[in-house]
Amino acid sequence: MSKQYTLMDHLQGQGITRRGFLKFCSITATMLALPPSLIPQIAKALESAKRPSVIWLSFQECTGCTESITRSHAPTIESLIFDFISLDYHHTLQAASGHAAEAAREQAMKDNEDQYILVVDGSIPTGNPGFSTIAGIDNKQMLIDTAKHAAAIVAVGTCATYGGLPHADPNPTNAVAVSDIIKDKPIINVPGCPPIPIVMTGVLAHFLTFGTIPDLDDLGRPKMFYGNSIHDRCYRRPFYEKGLFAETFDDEGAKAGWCLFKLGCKGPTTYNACATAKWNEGTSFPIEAGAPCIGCSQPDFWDNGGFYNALSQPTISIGETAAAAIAAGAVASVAASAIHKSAKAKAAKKHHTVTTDDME
Amino acid sequence: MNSAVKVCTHQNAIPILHEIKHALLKLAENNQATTIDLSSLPMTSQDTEQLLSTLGKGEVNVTLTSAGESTFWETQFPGVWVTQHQPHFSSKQLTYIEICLFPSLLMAQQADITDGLNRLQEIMS
Amino acid sequence: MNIDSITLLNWARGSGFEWALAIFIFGTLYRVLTLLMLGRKRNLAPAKSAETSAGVRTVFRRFAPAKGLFSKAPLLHIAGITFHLGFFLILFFYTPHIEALKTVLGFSWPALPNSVITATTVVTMIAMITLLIYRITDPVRRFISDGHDYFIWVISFLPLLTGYLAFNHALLPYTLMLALHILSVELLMVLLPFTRLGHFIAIFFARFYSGSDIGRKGVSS
Repeated sequence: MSKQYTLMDHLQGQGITRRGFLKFCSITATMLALPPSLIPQIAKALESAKRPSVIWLSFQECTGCTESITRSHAPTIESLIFDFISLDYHHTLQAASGHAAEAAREQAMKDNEDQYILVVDGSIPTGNPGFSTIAGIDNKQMLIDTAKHAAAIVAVGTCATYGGLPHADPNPTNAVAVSDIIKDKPIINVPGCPPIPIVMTGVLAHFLTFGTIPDLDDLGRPKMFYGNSIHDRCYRRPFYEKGLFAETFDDEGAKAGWCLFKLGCKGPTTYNACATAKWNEGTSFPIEAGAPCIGCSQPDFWDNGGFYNALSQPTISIGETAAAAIAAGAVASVAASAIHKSAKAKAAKKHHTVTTDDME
Repeated sequence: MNSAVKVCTHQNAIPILHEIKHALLKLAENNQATTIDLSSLPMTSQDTEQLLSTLGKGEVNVTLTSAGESTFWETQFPGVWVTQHQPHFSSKQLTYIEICLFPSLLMAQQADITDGLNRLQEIMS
Repeated sequence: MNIDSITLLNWARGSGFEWALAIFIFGTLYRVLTLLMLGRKRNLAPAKSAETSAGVRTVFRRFAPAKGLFSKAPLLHIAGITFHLGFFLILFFYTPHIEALKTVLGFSWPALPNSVITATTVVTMIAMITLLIYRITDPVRRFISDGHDYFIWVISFLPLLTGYLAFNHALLPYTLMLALHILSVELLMVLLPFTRLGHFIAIFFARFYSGSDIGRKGVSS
């Protein structure tokens, strides 16, 4: 796969006309969540865009992110691998294994020095290097080595972006995010458990189109996909405004599609594209299927006090705290009263009755 | 309770009808075109269905077969077009509402004209 | 990782709330019990009428302004009553608040529509601002006010303001505003028993005391 081979060359090789190319550009605009008015700019950029080499590393993960990206429908995974990028290393998807696979990674790193995109899914254990290794290399070392000559890093999934499940309390492996280890490279965070397929491919398409990293929010996420909260874009929002809430998963309100706030929906504090990009080829998303948003694209979502507790509910159990506070309040007030009483008694003792005799 | 559901699905199509109305006004007054990308809006499939059935079908139907199939049709409101792409690299249909005299994608492109001219000359020589 | 707004929100809903609730319960109990344990000097004079019922009556009767006082300062009374009533409605009849209270109390009750709560919040804030202006401009009120009075005005106003802004997704991102709202409520919970705001509970004892005292003397309250 030649480095100089552009996307335009590739499309022309498939017999696609200029008109077809412009259509491709308008679809790319949709993928990148850009307004249709930017299509001419996209066309200009794509004319000379080169397919970037991509190295994908998987650390402490469940392969859910890879499962998700293989369900990408715009572009499809085949098209992504063959048309848009050159996926040079991904140990789940590639045919080679063992030493041959590691050799492919090293070759791609050498051939595309300072040019390749590094995609990482999974968190990195820092407790003991032996917790997770690939070909005898521990995760942290492999990340540092591979990141060294990457043009940019795309951290995919909530594990790679914020630690995710391995980082959840009590974090037995001392798992950390990519951004906790790599400090000197641009990192694009694409969180989600898993991330939306077209959001992952969209970020890669943006890099391919413009050769730059997109605008990021304060959590390192591309604003074009994570700029709105689920709540802001939710089709059930009118019910929230009216105060119509489902109380249980099978009551009349739930059947009528009312707001899921009381059932623990984290939509108001969750930033992701689920409500518009949707899942399963744009079929639906969790709220549309009647399940509250669990906030999977936010840091530490596992430890947010229960998926089914309303956002305004405290996340701690009240009983023990209240009992302790009552006990402490009772003890302290009895003690204070005792001190007060003894002070009063002392003062009374010091009090001498003065008679006229004393005055003489 | 059923009426509440109806209200909800209506609610997501109505703002888009308003947007189309304003865009059509701009087209009528200043010849300014607008494209609305439905896949970037929070709509259920029922919302989309409802919107498209309200817009209806007009006089023009076009099929484009380049990099996957696309269909274009003018709605019952002249100047309001529906574009649906089924890209070759995607399994999802993408729907746009275009408010314009004619969808620009359907016009012949300079590069393709030159290419076609060359082919025609080759045949004739 | 630097502290982001969701981490702040999680802290506010978790440890922050736990501490605030513990201090609130401790403080309220401490104030009430020490007050009760102070005791009252035995009154050796024979009672002219039942003191307990007179005390209970006074607790409720004084929710209405005293005769004659209302016409002397109508604005003060209207604004004061509006603020207290509004604060009560918002606190106990807004859906998310009921959900939060359900966690603490274990039961819930019907809510008021969001539109009613939003309007109440605006009216309540206007009432509070009116009271503040009155406090500053009226020479007598200004003379008897000190820093403490202005401080408790601020900590009572903050939950209303942050809650209103959070509901309307205004000024700051919602997550941060919600975290600030919960934190402002926690600040209020912590300071409630230990400031002049302690009247939220002490007022009932004070009214009962004066009511029963004058009742005992045969004055109808």
